[in-house]
Amino acid sequence: MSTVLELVDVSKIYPMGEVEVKALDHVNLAVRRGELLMVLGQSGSGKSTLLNVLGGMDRPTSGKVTFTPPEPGAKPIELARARDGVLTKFRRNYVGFVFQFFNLIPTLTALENVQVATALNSRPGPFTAKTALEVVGLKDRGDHFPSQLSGGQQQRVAIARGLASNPEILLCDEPTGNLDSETGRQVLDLLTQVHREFGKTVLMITHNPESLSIADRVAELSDGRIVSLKEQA
Amino acid sequence: MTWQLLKKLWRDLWQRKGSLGALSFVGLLGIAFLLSSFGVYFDLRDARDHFYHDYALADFRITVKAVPENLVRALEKEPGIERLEGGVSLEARVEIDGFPDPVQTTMVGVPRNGKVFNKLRPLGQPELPPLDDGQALASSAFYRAHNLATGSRIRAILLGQQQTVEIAGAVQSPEFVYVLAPGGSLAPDPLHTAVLFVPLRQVQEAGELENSYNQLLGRFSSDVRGRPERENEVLQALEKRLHPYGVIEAIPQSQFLSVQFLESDIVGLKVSSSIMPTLCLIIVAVVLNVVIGRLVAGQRTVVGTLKALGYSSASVTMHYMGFGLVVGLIGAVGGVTVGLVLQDGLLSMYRKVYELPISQPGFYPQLIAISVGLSLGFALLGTAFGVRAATRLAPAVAMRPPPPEMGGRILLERGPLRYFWQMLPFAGRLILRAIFRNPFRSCVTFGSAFVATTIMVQSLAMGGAIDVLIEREFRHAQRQDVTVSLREPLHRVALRREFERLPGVKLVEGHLQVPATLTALGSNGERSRQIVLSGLPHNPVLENPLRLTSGLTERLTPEQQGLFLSDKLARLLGVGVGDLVEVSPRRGTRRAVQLPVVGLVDTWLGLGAFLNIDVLSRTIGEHAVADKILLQVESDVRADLVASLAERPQVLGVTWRSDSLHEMDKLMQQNLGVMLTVILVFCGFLAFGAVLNTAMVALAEREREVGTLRVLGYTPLSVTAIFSGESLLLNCLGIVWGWGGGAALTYAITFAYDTEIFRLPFVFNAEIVATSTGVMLLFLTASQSVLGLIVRQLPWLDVLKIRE
Repeated sequence: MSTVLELVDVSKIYPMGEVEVKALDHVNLAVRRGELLMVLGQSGSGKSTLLNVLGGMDRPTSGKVTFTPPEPGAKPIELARARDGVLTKFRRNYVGFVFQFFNLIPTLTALENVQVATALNSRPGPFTAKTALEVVGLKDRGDHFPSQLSGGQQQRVAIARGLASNPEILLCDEPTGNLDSETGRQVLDLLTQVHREFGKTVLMITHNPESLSIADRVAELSDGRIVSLKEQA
Repeated sequence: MTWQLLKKLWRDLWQRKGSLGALSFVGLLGIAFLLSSFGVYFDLRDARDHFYHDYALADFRITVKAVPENLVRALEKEPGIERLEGGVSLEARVEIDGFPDPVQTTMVGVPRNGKVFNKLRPLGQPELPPLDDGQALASSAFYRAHNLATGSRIRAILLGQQQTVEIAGAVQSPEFVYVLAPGGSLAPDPLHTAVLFVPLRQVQEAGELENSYNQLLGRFSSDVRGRPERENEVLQALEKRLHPYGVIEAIPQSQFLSVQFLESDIVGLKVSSSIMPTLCLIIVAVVLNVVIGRLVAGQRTVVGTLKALGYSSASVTMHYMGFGLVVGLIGAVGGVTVGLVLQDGLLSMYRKVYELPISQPGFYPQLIAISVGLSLGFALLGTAFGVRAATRLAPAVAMRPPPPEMGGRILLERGPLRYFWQMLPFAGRLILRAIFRNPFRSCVTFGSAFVATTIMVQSLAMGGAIDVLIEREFRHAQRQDVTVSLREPLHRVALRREFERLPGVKLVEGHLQVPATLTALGSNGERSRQIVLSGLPHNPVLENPLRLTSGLTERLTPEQQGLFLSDKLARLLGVGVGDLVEVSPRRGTRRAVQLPVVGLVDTWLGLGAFLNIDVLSRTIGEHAVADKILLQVESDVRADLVASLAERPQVLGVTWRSDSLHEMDKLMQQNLGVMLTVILVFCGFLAFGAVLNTAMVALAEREREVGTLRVLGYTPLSVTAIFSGESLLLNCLGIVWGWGGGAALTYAITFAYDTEIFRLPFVFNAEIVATSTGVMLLFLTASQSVLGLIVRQLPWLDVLKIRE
C-alpha cells in the first residue's frame, strides 16, 4: 500500500502569551492510501492539530508534510512550507473534511452546503451533490436549512459534502463527538461504508474506544507524541 | 464567486437586515448632508454666475447728477472700457390701492431697444413685452407680494409728480437680486420696496434729464477685467472726466450691495458646506469601517470552513465584500435620494430671499460620484479589514472561536489610580475596562458625539449671533418707530416743526446721509472707500450707532470736527484714532476736507462713518439740513400718520421699525430656523446611528458576557445599563468636548465671516450648551432604548451553548 501523506519530525508550537504550548512534538507518521486510520487520545493530546496539519489547514512549526497525488507521474507536494494558494488547491482537490460541530453554513440549504464544495472541484468523481446526499440517506432533506435538521442529519450532510468533492482523503475530527450514541453509531457505519465502497483514505480522530474496531490502524497520541501505532486485525 | 456563495450572501444580508439597515442609515445621513449642502452651494453659485453672465451684469456703475448722452459715447473710447451704457435711475414713491403704506421705489429707465447691461429676465412670459409710456415692468418680489397682475394699475410719485402706471409684467434683474428694505434692514421687504422698469424717455422727462443720464453702466476691457487695481485706475480716470457732472458714486461690481449680499451668503454656504458634511462623513466612514469590519469578523468560523473546503482567501474576501457593497450602495442610493429632496427644500428658502432664476435643484454627477465613492469606499475598506483579520488566519485557527480578549490590567488599575479603582462598583469596572480595552471603538463613539455636538453648538451659536446682532444693531442702536426718507436735504428746524405737527408724533430727529469717499492720508488713494457718511444730531435719542461703544456719544458735540469710524472701515483704511482722513463728499460743494478720526465704533453692520450733522452740513456747503427724519410716535396712529406723510411730495419712503424687525425675524425663522432644525435632526440621527452601531458591536463582541450575567440573575435592564454606561460615559465626554469644539469652530467661522456688509459676534452661552446637550441626550436615549430591546431579545442561553 503506497503512502498518501507522510509526516516527518513534525512539531507544532502555539505561542499562548508568555508560554508556548507544544501541540505536536516530533511526530512521524505515514498514512497509507485507502486505509482507515483512527487517531486516539485525550483532550489536548494534539489530535486536532495533527488533523489540521495533515489537511493543509495549518502549517507545522517544523518538520515535513508530504502529500503524494494519486495521478500517475504527479510530483509529491510538500505542504509544510507551501504557499497559501498551493494549500488551497490541495484542500479543494484532495481533501474532504467532517468536523465535530459539522461546520455547515447556516444560510445555505443541505443541498447548497454540499454544492459549495462541488462547485470548486476540478476532479470529477462518482457523485453529484444530490447523489452524495442520497448516499447519506438525506435525499428528501436537500432543501432543509441546517437549523431544520437534527445533529445526526447535519453530520450526514457534512459527510456528503466531504464525499461529493471526490477527495483523496477524508479527514474526520471526532465526527460522533457531538452526537448521541445511537446516531454516532449510524454516522460511523456511514463512514465505514464510504471507506469500503469508495476506497477513500479515511483519517478519523476519536476519543471513543468503541469505534476503534472499524479501523485498519490505530495511532495513539499523548502530549503531542504518537505513543503507539497498531495494526488492527 | 459561485452561485451558492451568492445565495449565501443574499441570505446573510437578509438575516442581518436590521444591523445593515442601521449601518446604511448612517451612510445615508453623511451622503445626504454632503450632497444637499454642496448641491445648494453649487446651485446658488451657478445660478448667480449664469444670471450675471447671461443678463450682462455691469462691471461697474457710476452715478452722477446728470451727464449728456453724447459724452457717454465719447467716454466709451477711454482706455480700459469695452462698452458703456447710459441710464437713468430715480428714487420714487409708489402707492397701491388697498395698501396703506407708501412703497419706496427705484425707477429704472429701459431704452426702446432694450438694455445693454443689467438686462431684464421676464417671468411668466417668454419675451419681454414692449413698454409703452405709462407702463412698467415690476420687480418680481414686489409683484408677488402685492398680488399684481398684467394690467394692474399703481400710482407713482416721481419728483413730486404723480402718474398712473400700468404693470406690464414681472421681471428679474441681475442688479436687484437682493433688494434691501430702506432704513438699514438686513432683510428684503417686498411689500415696502420695489423696482419699476419704465421707458427710458419717460423717466428722463419725469426726472428732468432730457438727453442726459444719471447713471453709467459699463464693462471693462479684457486686459482690465478681474484686476482690481487696474479696474480702480480706470474708474478713477472716468470719475475725473465726469467730475463736472457731479459724480455721486463710482463702484466696481464687487461693491454693488446686491452682489455683496449674495456673495456673502455664498461664501457662508461654501464654508458651512465644506466643514460640517466633511466632519459628518469622517464619522460615518469610521463607523462603517468599525461596524462592518466587526460584522465580517464575526463570521470567522464560516470563513475558516470555506477556506477548509478549498476556497481561496481572495474568493472569500470577494464574497464578503458583498456586505460592504450592499451597505455602501444602500447608503449611497438613499443618501442621494434624501440629499436631492433636502437640496430642493433648502433651495426653496433661497428662492424666497433672492430674485434669482433657480428653477430645479442641480444634479451633479461628479458630486454624486464622490459621495457614492466615499460611501462605498469606506464600507468596502471596513469589510476588507474585517475579512482580512479572518482570512489571514490558517483555516484551522479561523474555525476555532477567537481566543478570549486580553485581560490585562488597564491604566486605572495601576499606580495611585488604583485606590480610585477599588472604590468603583463592579459595573463601573466592567464599563471602564471595556472602554480602555477597545480604544479604537471608544474613540469612534467619543468622536461621533464630539462631532455631532460640535456641529450643533456651532449652528446654534450662529443663530444666536444673528439674534445678538439684530438685538444690538436694530434694537439697541435704533429706537425710532418710523424712518422717513426725503427726496432731498431740507432745513432741519423747518422739518422738525412740520413733522412734530403730524398725528401721534412724540419726538422728531433729523439725520443727514451723504455719499462720500474716505481716503487715508498718505496712502496715495490706495486705502480708499466709497461709503455713506451719517450726520448725527447732538445727543441723538433715536438712532445712534455711537451708543454701541461707551463714551462716544458724549463726544459728538457741534464743536467736534472729527469722524467716528466703524472698526471694519478703520481697518480697511488702515487708520486709527488721531489719524487724518480725507473726506470727499459727493453732494453739494464737493469740497474735500481733512478730518481726524476721533473714535472707533464697535458695530457689526456695514462700513459706517459718523460725524456731527452740522459739521456734515457745512462740509457740503449747506446749513443744518437733514434728509432722513426719525420719528417716535404714539401707538395706533399708523393709518393717520401714513396718510399725512403720503400728502407730502418730498417724502420718498416710510419704514416702520416694527415692520423691519418683523421681516428680519421672519427671514431668520424661515431660513435659519429651518437650517438649524435640519442640522440638529441630522446631527442627532448621526449620533443615534453611530452610538447604536458601536454599541451593537460591543454587544456582539461580548454576547457571552451578557449570557453569563443573565445566568447570574442580572435583568435585561441591568445588563443594558452596563452597555449603556460605557456608551453614555463616552458620549458625555464627547458632548462636553463638543462644547469646546463648537465654541472653537464658531470662533473660527466668526473670524472667517468678516465681510464689509456684516461681521458676526462670537456667541456662546448656557442656552446653546443646554439645547445641544438636550438634543444629543434625546437621541442617545433613543439609541440606548433600541439597545435595551436588543439585549432583551438576545437568545442568551443559545449564546452560552456555543462551543469553545
